Order: sequence, then structure tokens, then C-alpha cells
Amino acid sequence: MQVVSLDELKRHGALWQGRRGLLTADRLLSSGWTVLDDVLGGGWPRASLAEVLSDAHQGLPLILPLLARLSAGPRWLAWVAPPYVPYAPALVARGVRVERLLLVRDVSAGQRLWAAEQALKSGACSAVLVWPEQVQAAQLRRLQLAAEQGDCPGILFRSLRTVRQGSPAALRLRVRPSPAGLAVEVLKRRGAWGGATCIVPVGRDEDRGGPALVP
Amino acid sequence: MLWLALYFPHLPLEVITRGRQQAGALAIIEKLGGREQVSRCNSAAQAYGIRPGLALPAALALCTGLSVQRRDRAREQQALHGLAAWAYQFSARISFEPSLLLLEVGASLRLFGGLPTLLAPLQRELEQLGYSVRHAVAPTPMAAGVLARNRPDCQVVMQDGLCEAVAPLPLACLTRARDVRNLIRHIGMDSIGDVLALPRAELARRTGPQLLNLLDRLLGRLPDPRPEWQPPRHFSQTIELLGEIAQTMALMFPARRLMVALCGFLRGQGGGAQRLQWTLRHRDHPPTRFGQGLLDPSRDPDHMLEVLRERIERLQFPAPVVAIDLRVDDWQAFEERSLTLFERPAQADQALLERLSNRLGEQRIRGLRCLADHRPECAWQFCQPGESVVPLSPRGVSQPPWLLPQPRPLRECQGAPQYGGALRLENLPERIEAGWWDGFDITRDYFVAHSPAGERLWVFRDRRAGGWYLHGLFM
Amino acid sequence: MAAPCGPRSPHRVPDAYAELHCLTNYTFLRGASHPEELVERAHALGYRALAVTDECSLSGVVRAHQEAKALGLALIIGSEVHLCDGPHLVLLVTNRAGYAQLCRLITRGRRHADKGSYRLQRADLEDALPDCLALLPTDQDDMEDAAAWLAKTFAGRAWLAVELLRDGYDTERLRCSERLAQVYRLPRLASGDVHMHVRGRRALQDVLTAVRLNTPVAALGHARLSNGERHLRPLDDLATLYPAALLEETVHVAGRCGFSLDALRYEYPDDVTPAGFTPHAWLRRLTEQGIARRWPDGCPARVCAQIEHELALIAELHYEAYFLTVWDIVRHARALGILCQGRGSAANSAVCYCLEITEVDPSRMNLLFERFISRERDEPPDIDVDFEHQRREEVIQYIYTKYGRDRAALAATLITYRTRSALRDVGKSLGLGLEQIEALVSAVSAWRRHAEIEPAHLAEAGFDPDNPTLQRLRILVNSLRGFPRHLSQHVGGFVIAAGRLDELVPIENAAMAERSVIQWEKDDLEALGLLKIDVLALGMLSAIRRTIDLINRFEGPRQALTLARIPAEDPGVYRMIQRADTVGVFQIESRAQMSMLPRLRPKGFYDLVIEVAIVRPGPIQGDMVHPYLRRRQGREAVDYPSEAVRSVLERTLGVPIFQEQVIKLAMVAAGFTPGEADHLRRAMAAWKRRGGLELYQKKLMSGMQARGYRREFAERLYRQILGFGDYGFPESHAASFALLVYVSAWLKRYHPAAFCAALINSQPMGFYAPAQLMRDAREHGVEVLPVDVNYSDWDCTLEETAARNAGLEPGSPPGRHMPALRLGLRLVRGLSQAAAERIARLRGQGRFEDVVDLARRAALNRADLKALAAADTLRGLAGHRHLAAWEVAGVEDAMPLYGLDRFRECVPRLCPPDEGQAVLADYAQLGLSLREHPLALIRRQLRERGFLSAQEIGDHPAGDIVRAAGLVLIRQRPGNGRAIFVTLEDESGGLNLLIWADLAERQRKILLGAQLLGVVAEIQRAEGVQHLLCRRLEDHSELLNGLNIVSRDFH
Repeated sequence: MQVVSLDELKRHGALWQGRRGLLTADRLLSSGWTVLDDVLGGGWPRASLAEVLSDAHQGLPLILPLLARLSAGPRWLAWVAPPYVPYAPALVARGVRVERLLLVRDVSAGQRLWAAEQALKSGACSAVLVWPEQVQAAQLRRLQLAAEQGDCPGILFRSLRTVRQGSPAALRLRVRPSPAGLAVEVLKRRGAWGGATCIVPVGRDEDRGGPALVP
Repeated sequence: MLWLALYFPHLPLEVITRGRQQAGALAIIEKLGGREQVSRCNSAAQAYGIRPGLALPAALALCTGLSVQRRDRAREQQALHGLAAWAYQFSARISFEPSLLLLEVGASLRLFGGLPTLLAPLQRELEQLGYSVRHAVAPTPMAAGVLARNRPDCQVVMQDGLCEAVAPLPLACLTRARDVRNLIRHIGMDSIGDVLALPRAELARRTGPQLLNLLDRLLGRLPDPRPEWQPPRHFSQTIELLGEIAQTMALMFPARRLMVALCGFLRGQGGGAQRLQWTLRHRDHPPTRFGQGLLDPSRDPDHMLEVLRERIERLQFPAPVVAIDLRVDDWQAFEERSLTLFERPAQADQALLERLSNRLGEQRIRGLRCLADHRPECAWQFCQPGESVVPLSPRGVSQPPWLLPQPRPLRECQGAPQYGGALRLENLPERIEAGWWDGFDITRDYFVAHSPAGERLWVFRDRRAGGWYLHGLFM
Repeated sequence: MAAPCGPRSPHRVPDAYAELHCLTNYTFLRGASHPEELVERAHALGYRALAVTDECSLSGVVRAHQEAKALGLALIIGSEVHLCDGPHLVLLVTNRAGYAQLCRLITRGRRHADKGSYRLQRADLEDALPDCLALLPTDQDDMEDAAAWLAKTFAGRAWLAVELLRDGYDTERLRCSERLAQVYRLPRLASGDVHMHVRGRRALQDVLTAVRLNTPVAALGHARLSNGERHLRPLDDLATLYPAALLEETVHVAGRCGFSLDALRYEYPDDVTPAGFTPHAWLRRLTEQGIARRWPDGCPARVCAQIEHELALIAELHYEAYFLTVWDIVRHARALGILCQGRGSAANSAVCYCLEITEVDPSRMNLLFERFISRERDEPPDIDVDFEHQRREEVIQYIYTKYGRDRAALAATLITYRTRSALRDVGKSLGLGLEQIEALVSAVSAWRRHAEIEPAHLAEAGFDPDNPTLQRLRILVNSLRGFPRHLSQHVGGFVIAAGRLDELVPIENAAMAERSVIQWEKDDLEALGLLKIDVLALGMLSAIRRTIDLINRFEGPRQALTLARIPAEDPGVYRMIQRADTVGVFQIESRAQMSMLPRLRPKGFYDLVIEVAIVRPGPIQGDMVHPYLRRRQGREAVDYPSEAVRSVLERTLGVPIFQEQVIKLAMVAAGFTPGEADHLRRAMAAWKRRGGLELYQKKLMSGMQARGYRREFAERLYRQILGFGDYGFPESHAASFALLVYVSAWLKRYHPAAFCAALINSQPMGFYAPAQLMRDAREHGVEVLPVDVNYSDWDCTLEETAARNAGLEPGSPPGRHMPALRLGLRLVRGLSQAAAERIARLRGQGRFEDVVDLARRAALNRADLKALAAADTLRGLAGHRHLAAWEVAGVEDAMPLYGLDRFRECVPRLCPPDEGQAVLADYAQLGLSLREHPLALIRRQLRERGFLSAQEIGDHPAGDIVRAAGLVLIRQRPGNGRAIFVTLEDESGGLNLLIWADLAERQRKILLGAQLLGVVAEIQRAEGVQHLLCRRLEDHSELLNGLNIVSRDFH
């Protein structure tokens, strides 16, 4: 079952720790979505880049359970050049502590990458989300290095047009809206075959379950 | 010993007015005996017939344009400490009474060459600081205080003249003890002199020993030790401006007052400042901070003001200023500061923030916080990253993680909103009606909508003006 | 994905709906609509029924009931309760038994908590409400537990209330309720958690929330409701939200609620009738006994006929028990020696005179008879009884003891928002600053206090009426005005039930310990026809009783004076009244009354009745005073537009003066039915609170024009009705008061010392402070003796005058002479009554020798001694005031040495106070001085400043411009506010100032601030009344040098 409530997340954390050592799970962060973890082999890569490719900046809901969990720690969640306003009340309702958010806004394409690199390698962030405009392969490599250096997951939201570009990212996903949520296809996963798919049921009523009704 | 008492009769008023050159009718109010009444008021208010003791509604009835401020004893106490720091240049023994400073000046008289040479600069600087003062000099601290309050400018240098100087004063100047004062009044007497003439033993029987003890301390027959004020390590003072200042150069007036206070403090410490930290506070914006560096340590107010003027001319601030702070902790604080830097757990955070801000500009590095408002536009705000927030019960469970900066109008076709084709709406809208009180009044029905492309959208219909809008995205 | 459908079609209108969860503004600071508004709206929307379910309260149900009855809407009585161990639920009454159960539950909850709150838990509901239904709203914590409990506790009588409010949670509500319904087998129904009758009250509701949470609206955040859905929604709108079955279920539930307040068949308590008698026979027996007592020589035939008529009417309407209940209370008071006097429509009936409920003799008041009970008006008789103010509590305790707390309680008084309080609360909630609010509030005082705020008012007060915040403020204040704010206790309105009162109406704690109040107001009781008796306090009754006691004690064993023995219609009394020599006399001592007396020149009792009624804001605003005066003085012809009008107005020379006359006029001249006239009367009383007279205006106008009355006459009548609304005086009230006027005037005329002493002993009361009363007595030749520990009691007393003591042998019989007035220790500020009484008692064992003797024998503490010394009451023991103070200060320490020590003490040289200081000290400690008037002490300075004394001004001709000065005694602003009355006093007498509003505004500071006010003024005299018309005001208070003399202002 998919989860957003904090209790569920805690339970999930315990599960993830239980798998530690068995798999290479210590290099992975559970996404908080069971179906997604299954196709990702356990979760998001921990100190590496992941790319989420879509038509129109889609895919944020896939990350939210992870962000909710990471925001319990002391480090920043950096969002570099988000395409819209992250709507704070909705994030809070999904368990994200918004005071951990570090937004980098109104910056040029080059500044985005510079900021993302700084954030990734600083060691001060528990995750870095980037919406770059265009990225050269060399720049991607720099970011990948920075992620490793700062032991920090970097998630790049990119256009579907870049599907055919090569990438040093440990994980590449293609995301499309579907009637039942978001359809995810694994294009590349380090140490495994691509091609696995799943439907992550974002937007189902469960997504809105959350807290008791207290108007 | 010789004590100089400095009494600040208008302190409650001046802690508020000293930031501005002129002010309209102003009254300081205080709650006494369950009712709000005027405690002090300025001359403009007096012209309307307002006087201390008047009930607030009565005062407002006399002058509808009256500004009213609540008396702030904490701030008065702070101001008195600031004055002590400044006065430290004249005497190393300073103690307090309410609205009054006592300086032991017997020792420093020799240094300054007599009372007049001490008093002249003292009074001049106090005026620059924005305080009016009454002074008196006497061989005991209590007598100096009593005289400053009741016979200003009285200077009794020798023990002999003391009795004569205080005798005509009403006993009320000396003690507030109601019993004692009532007794003296009820036997038809009034002054300290009258009381001194009463038979001592019989008086003691009726009033208890406190009154005689008080009289003896007043006249120096008993010692009267006072706790001594210790100078602080840092200089930090604030002037709250009465009203708001929008023009940069108007800030020079309160800045001068702070500078004079600083230089008095520095002289007292025998030091000089090299780095000044200024903070301008605004009503609804984060404060504007800037530093003022000097090539060499200085305690010359004019020089430092000149440097400040240049700095301030270029300064831009986002909103009118309501208060101004000056802080200096340079000359002995190096050790301590490095220590705190290492101990701070969030040091790395700050380093990243600073790096990003320096390169990209502070306004591009933002945090986010929730506000308690039903209107989506008003339910969040950019802020300093990491700024702590009041925890809120989550309200946005049916709301999307992405919000458009502006609602985007949607085309309508046969009453149905379009977004790449007709949108399909989930039923049971969320109706938000709020904002009648501040002019941003909305009344909207929010729906979760599905586009033909499969996206989930947050759209609303404006119930008043009609029309459909896209406001958020769930994907 | 969610159910794939758009908003439901708006065309499917349900057959019917009943709203079962609705708060009125009697759920204070939550409900945002009046009960009437909700009922009216529910009716207009075609609701099948409306339940009024205020939170743990039935305060608003009577109002809702009346409105629902008028409109023909089914009203359900219920209540929302929040249990402290959860959940909150709505209880609905199905029948009379269920109503009683709910009343008892609410009573229980309220009595177990502080005033204004309640405390109920689950256990309180279990087995307590077999005839009530329960609805459980689904938005609560721990719903599982709550639903399980409810299903068990209210098996077969419980529903889940699904309240869809379009706040983003509706889907969850439906889903959650569906599941709970299955698990716990609870049916579901729709309800609206209604807080207002229309969506437009949303802003006001926000303001109420802000006031409740003491937070500005802008800072309320999520505490504010997110939308205005909690209103009575149209049926088609509900149909788009709810599954049809949920709507239909409401009608089914409403059908099970068959209770109406009309079913409260009330029986009067009948605890008084002895066995073997019917109430009627017992009342007749008591009345006959009364006849024999009142008319020992035989009852006049006319009165006998009247009594028979009244008894027949009482029997027909079954009011015997009511009369007997009042008789019993009055009899008990009399047995305790408490003076009382009835008033109210039935109080001055001949039967009440026989029962000694009133002292108004029907043979003196032949005009009042026919109006005491109306057969047409279906309402209980109205008898209010005034008791001595300091002893009323004894009467109240008697009622509680006799009937028990479960049968007797005080009626509530609803405290409602007035313009000023509404301004304060709305202003605060809109975030206005303290000073802005105060400025607005002080501007309001200039407007009529009961009127709506209009933009012009704001502009007048210097505000910009177009400012959006002020516009909001104005609209919100106007709608908040009249909203109930909290329940308070009525001054003395008792309700007594035949059975358990708490099955009739919930009972709450009052602010005073040991008091309980019901949740209904007097109007509500009246609307339902319940028995109420007003047990009121009247200071003058205390003063009269004390005067008579003083006289009887002083005059010794001759025939004792009683109220009944006071001779009627004494010409000397009327001559005194005509001179306006009425300081201290009941009612006619005010400035306005005094200025009327020489013009009205009352010659008999009925003139006093008119005098009492005419000098009131109602008649003054209605412009009745001058026409009446002109007609009385023969300067205007008395004419009547018709014979019918003549029959109503003849006794008041064609001018309506009493409330009943206005009502009667509406009937005879405008064709109102008795029922309509009665509605008009109630509307008049409520007009200032909630308006609503406009309806009657049209009817009056058209009715009178149809009957050929001139438009002008009709308009005047309407104006008079408006005036009466606030301050109308019924004739029977005026008659009861006039009796006390006459009695007090007679006492003042023939026993001025006793009267003055009694007035001082009854303080605080009346218009004048002891200083003025004492001065007036002295002017009437009374010798006033100072307070002295060797002579004074706690109260003022009468003594033989010094002259008489000197001239006559002791023991000789007291003749007809005037006693002296000895001021009592009660005047000494800071002296406890117990101490004073010890002084008086122990003095009986021998005079006090010195201060130590006094302190020891009377066991006085230092505070008592100081007060005595400062008041100069020890002059016989210690010498002048200063010496007394010195001596007293040494007492406590000297005591252990048993008096030896004091001889060894060194006594300082202390000067006696000079005259000025002594006067100052007198005023400070006693509030008056027998020494010189303070102004006599500064007369020289006053003369230098050109001021004449009051006496000198009296010798000047009218029209002269003079300078006068005096202590400000009283400042008054009568009804219309066009002029300010100020009374000044100097050593030679009083001066009446008239200050027009514009001068008052210009010199406001002086007017309000000066203790010693100087004026330049023109002397005006008319019909024996002198005014000084002021041109300029001056403040000379500094001459008094801090003399603190308190004036009585604007009370």
C-alpha cells in the first residue's frame, strides 16, 4: 500500500533498514511508494543523480514521500529553479517540513547548474531537486561527481526530448500521466536492466487520506 | 563623597520621542487602578489640556488626533542603562533609582576641575542624546536624588548645608509609605523639617524605625550603600522611531543620538570602535542590516557620522523604518566569536547559504512558509531559508503540490472549462470564501479536474465574476 | 480515479428537507443570525421544519417559537452539546417529556460549571433522555468510539449527521459516514451545522469568531470558517450535494418531533390556600378581611362594586393563585417590618388595596379601575412589588425558602450589543487601534445611542466614511447591534412554578453566588403566559420606613405614626411642592422635575401622578409637556378630535401622557384590534433593541386617516409611541410612585430632621449626597450636630436640641418641637460598621474617658481609630484633630503598658488646623462639613474676581448679566442633548445653569474639569424658576487648593 502518513513512513523506514545489507540497499533511499520501490530495486539512488523525464515538469509527487522523510533531518532540501510555486500547505499536508526547503529562483541556466552543484557537494543538503533548461553531458558528469562528493541524491526533472541523450545518472525514469496516477518506465538503472514499468497511484483518494478530519 | 544626581523627568516620553525631531500630540498611558490613564504627555498634548492622571477616554475626548503609546518600563530601564554606559566617562561609581542616575563625582571633580566644568559638557551631551535632565549635588546619594527630583539645580557641597537644604521639602519626597505620610499629614505637618523637630522616641513608636533610618541616611548619619552598576561588554542600543521614516537622510537624526551614546560609552571604556553594525527595522519586512567599517578605531561622533552619511546615502531599504539599532562588539569579542562559530551545529548550512547568496543575490535564495489563511494566494510566503515556523495543522490535503504564481484563465466551451479539451470535474468542490476584511476578497469553488491528456489539475470557478481558472497541478 | 462525474445536475429538487442542526445568535459569539431571521428564512425556502439547537441553551427558543407560530413553520426544540469526554452531538425533543429531560440536562450542565459555561459528560446523557433523539456530526476525533457509544445509548434514536460544507473534506465525510453507518447500524441524514440564515452573514460570523478568540479577523487563520456554507441553503443546492436518501431522512426525523412550546400548560403555584378552601374562596375571604380593615366605617358602594367586578374577572381568568402568591410575599415582608408597595397594571386594583399589596386608595384614584386586567389580552396580570432596597434580599430568600430552588428562580436579562459595545468589538476585530476605537466610541455618544450608524455620523466625527475599513465597520456594527451578548440576571423578576421549574426551562448559575437564573427573559415568560413577580428594590421605601421609625422612637409612647396615618391631601405639603422645595423627595427632586413643579403647581394627588409621568424622556421627546402645561394653565383650549379620543385623553387634558393611553388611542382612533394593540405595546418595548415599529406606523397612519383624523395628529401620535418605547410610564406605575412622592414630601414637610437622617442612613440613593441633604435640612431650621464618639450611633439619630436641653428639666414630657439631627458614624470614611456599633453599645456603660479607654473598650483597631481621629470625632477625648491623630498613632504600642506610659510621653507642640484645613479634612473624611461652606472661606478672593453669591444674584432683576461661581454639584445632559444642566452651590445657596451644547462643546474642558466653576451668564426667570443662561465658563478650581468634592455627573 502507498503511504503518506508519518506513522506509515516510520514503519517504512524500519522495513528499509531491515533490508540493509541484504541488497545494496544502503545505497538506496526508499521512495515511499511500494510499487515504485519494486521497479527501482529498492528506491532512489542515494549519492547519485536520478533523472525524471516528462512532458511538462511532471513527477514531483513521486519524490514527495521521500522529501517528507528527509525533511525530518537537519539538512536542506534544495529546489533549484522549480517551474511553479511549491504550494507550502499541500507540502505540509503531505508531511514535508517546509522550513527545510531552500529555493533557488529566478536564475539563468548556467546559474542553475552552478547552484545545483554547490548544493549537491556541500554536504548540507539531504536532497537536491533541479529543473535545468539544457545540460551538457560534461555538466551532468560534474553534477554526478558533486552528488557523490556530498553524499546527496540529485533529482533532475528534464524534458522527454532528452530521452536519447546519454547520461551518467544512476537512474533514468520516463513519467506520463495515466488515469490511475503516474505511469513510470525505468529507462536506465545502474546495475540492472531497464524497461520495468509501474503505475504509481498518485492522486488517488489514499493520497489525500492523511490526517483525521478536523475542520 | 559627593553625589551628582541626574533625574530624567520625561524619560517615559523621551524613550519614544527621541527618534524624531517633532511629533504631534502624544500621550504615554499606563493602567493604574484598573483604568487607562495618561502618565506623561508632550507639550503639544498639553496644549489640548491633557495632563498626567487624566483618564484615556477623557484625553481622547479633548484631542481626537492624540497618539497614544503604552508606557514601557522595560524600555525606560534599558534607556537608563544606556545612559549609565554613557555616563561612565564621568564617574566609575554609578547607581540607579527610577528615572534617575547617581554618579559619585567627588573623585572625578579634581579630574574635571570643578563642578561647572563637569556639568557643562554633561548637559550638552544629554541634550544631544535627546533627554532632558534635572540635576542636584549633595553629600549623600539620597539627598542628591531627592533634591534633583524636587529642588533641581541645588548644589550642596558641604555636610553642613544639607539639613537646611532638605528641610523645606515635603516628607512625601522622601517616602511613599502611606502610613507615615498620613500620620504626618494628620498631625498638621508636612515637611522633612517638621518631622525632624518631632520627639524622636515618640515618633519611632508611631512610625516604626524605618522613617528614622531614612532620615539618618538622608543626612549622612547612617551609611547608605548602593549596588554599583557594571558596564556591559558590548554596546547595543535601539531607538524606536515614533511613526515611520521613509527618507534615508531623516535617519541621520536618530543615528546621531545613537552615535553620541556610543562615543560616551567608548570614552568610559577607554576604547574605540572599528566596526559598527546597524539594523533598520521595518514593520512588515525583515530588517535591513548593514555594517559600517572604519579604517582606525574611533570615538569621534562627528567623524563616524560623516562615514555613516556616505553609507546611508546609497542605502535602499524596502519599507519605512520603525526602529534603528546600533551594535558594537568589536574590541574585545574576537575570542568569543570564533568559539561560537565552531560550536554552531548548522555551520555548514550557513556556509552554503552564504555562498549561494553572495553569488546569486540574497533575493534569489528563499525559504518557504505557511500562513494560516484559507486563500491559496495568502496561505504561503517566501521567507529567509530555515526561518522557523509556527506549526500549523495541515489544511491542504486536497490541494496540489504545485501552485501557479497567478491563476490562469481557462477558455470555456458550453459552460465547461477547457484545457487541451474539455475538463472533467470531480464533484464536491471546495468552496473558499474569504478576505472581505483586507480587500482581497475571493469566493471560489475549487475542483479537481482531469484533462484529456490525463493530467490532474486544480481549477476554480470565480463565483462572483464568473469564469474558470487553472490554479494548481497535481502531477 | 475518483468517481468520474461533474457537478451534479442542479435541477433535481428534493421534495422536502428539515434542518435539524441550527445555531442562533443565542449561542453567543457563534451563531450569526437572530432566531426570527432563521425561522423566517427556513420558511421562505420551503423547509419542512427547523430545529433550533443552540449550544446547551434554550434561550432563543421562545423567540423562534413566536415567529414560527406566526408563519406556520414546524419548529423543533433541541440543543447542541459538547461533552467533555467527547463527542459533540445534537439532541432533539420529541414530546413534552423529552422537553423536560432536555431542560434538566441543560440545567445539570450549566449548574455544574461557572456562569456562562457548562459541563456535561457521557454519563449525564445515559438513561436521561428517553424522549430525545440524537444526531452525531461526523467531523470529530475518535468517531468509532463515539458512534459505538451513541448507537448503544440512543438505540433506535440516533443518526449520523452528514454535514457537507464544501470545505474540501466532503468526500471523506461521505465515505467515513457510510462506513460507520454500516458498522454501527446507524442511519444517516443530512444537516447543515447552520450558523446564519443567509450567506451574507459570513463577515459578521467571522467577527464573532474574532471576538470569541480575542484576535483580529485578519489573524484568525484557520479558526475562521473557510466559507459561508453554514447557512440555510436552498433545496436545489442541497440536492446537488447530498444523496437524496439523506435529505429524505431529515423529514422522517422531523416527523418524530411533535413538541411545541404551546404545550407548556402552566399552572400557577398554589401553596397559599389553606385546606378546605378553594383559591377563590380564600381570596374572597382575605379581600373581605381587608375591606373591614381599610374601611372600618363601611366600604363605599362604588368601591364594593369595583371589588366584586374585579373578583369576577379574576375568577374568570383563573388568576386567584397569582394574587394569593403576591399577597403571601407581601404579608411576609410586612411581618418582617419591611415596607413595600406594589405597582404594575394589576397592582392598583381595589383587591390589591384590600390585600395590602398597594397603599394607593382606590377611592382616591377612581380613574384607574377599569384598566387593571384586560380580558382580551391573553396574558397574566402584572404586579411588581418594590421593597426597601437594603432588605430586599430577605424577601428573595423567603421566596427561595418557601418554593425551593427547583421551583423559583430569577428571570434572565439579555445583555445585547449596543452601538458602543458593538463598535468596540468590531473595531478590535478589524484591527483598529485603541485610539481610533475610542475616538469612534466617543463620537457615538454624540449620536443617538440606539440609532444605526450612518456615513454622515462618521463624517461628522472627522472620519472618512468612504474608507473601506470604516464602511465595513459601519455595516458590521449595524448588524451586530441588538445581538445577544450574554445572559445576566434580571433585577428582581421571579418566576415560580407549580412543579419543577427545571422541567419548564433550563436554569443557570448567576454571577452572584446562591442565585440561579432561568434561560428566559421576562418577555419570553410573558409570551408563554408564565407567572412572574418582580421583587424590586427601592431606596425611598427604606428611607420612609427609617423616617417613621426615627419619629416614633423620638416621640415616645404616643400614638405611633404609620403609613396609613399620614393625612391625605395636606395643603401644606402641596404648597411646599409648588415651591419646588423638594430636595430628597421621591422622584420630584431632580432638576428637571423641580423646574416643572412651579409651573405645574400640583394641587392634588392626581397632579402628582401626572407630574411623575410627564417629566420623563418619553413625553419630553414626544413633545407632550408643553401642550399639557399650556392647557393646564388655560392658555390653550382643550379640544378633542373625536368623542372616542376624548374618552381616552380627558383626564390628561387631551394630551397622552401614559403608556396605556397611547395603546388605547391606537385602538379607538386607528382601529387596532386588542391583539394588535398588544403587539404594538411589545414592539414599543423592544423597539430600541431591534426596531420593527415601521410596520405599525403605516397601519396607524392609514387607520387614523380612514377615521378622519388629521395627518398631523397621526404623526404626533407616532412620535409619542417612539418616545414611549424607551421610557413610557404606565399610569398605575405613576400612581404607585406618586403615593411615595406624597408620603416622602409629607415627611419632609413635618419631620425634616428625621427625614434627612433617614435619607442619609439609606445612602446611596436618590439624587443628592449627604452634604446637600444636610444643608437643606439646616435651611429648614434643623440643628445638625457633629459626629462624636460620645454621642453618635452608626446611623444618624435624633436628639433633643441643645437649647431645649438647657432650658428644660430632664424628664419633662417632650412637646411639639423640632429635634436636632446627630450625624452618625456611618459618615466616617474607613470606619467599619461593626466598630461603630461597638462604640455605641459600650458607650452605654459609661462615656469614654480618653482615646486609650475608647480603643480598649470598643476593641478598635488602628484603622478605625485613625478614621475616627481624622473625622474629628474624638474632640471630646483628645482635643483638636492634629492632637487626636498623634494620640491615636501612639495607642497600639501604649496598650500593653496599661495606660501608664502615656503620661510619660513627650507631647509635641501641634497647632490646631485652621478653618480651611478643617473644612478640607471634613470633606475628605465625612463628605460634608458643619463648618463654613468652602466657598465662604474664599469669598474674598471670589469677590476680587467679581463673582456674586447665589443670594446676591437672587436680588438682581432678570435679564442682568452677572458673574457667578460655585462648586459643581451635578452635571446633567437631558434626553435630546441640546443643553447641559449644571447645578452650582455656594455658601448662600444653589444656582441652576443652562449651557447650550455649542458653548459646552467649545469649553468642554472647563465644563468637565472644573470643580469650582465660574460663569458669565444672563439671569432668566420664568414662573418662579431661575436659570443662569451661560455665555462663558471659567475654571477657578485652583482656589479650592485640592479640595476634593465629588460631583454627581451624568448619572
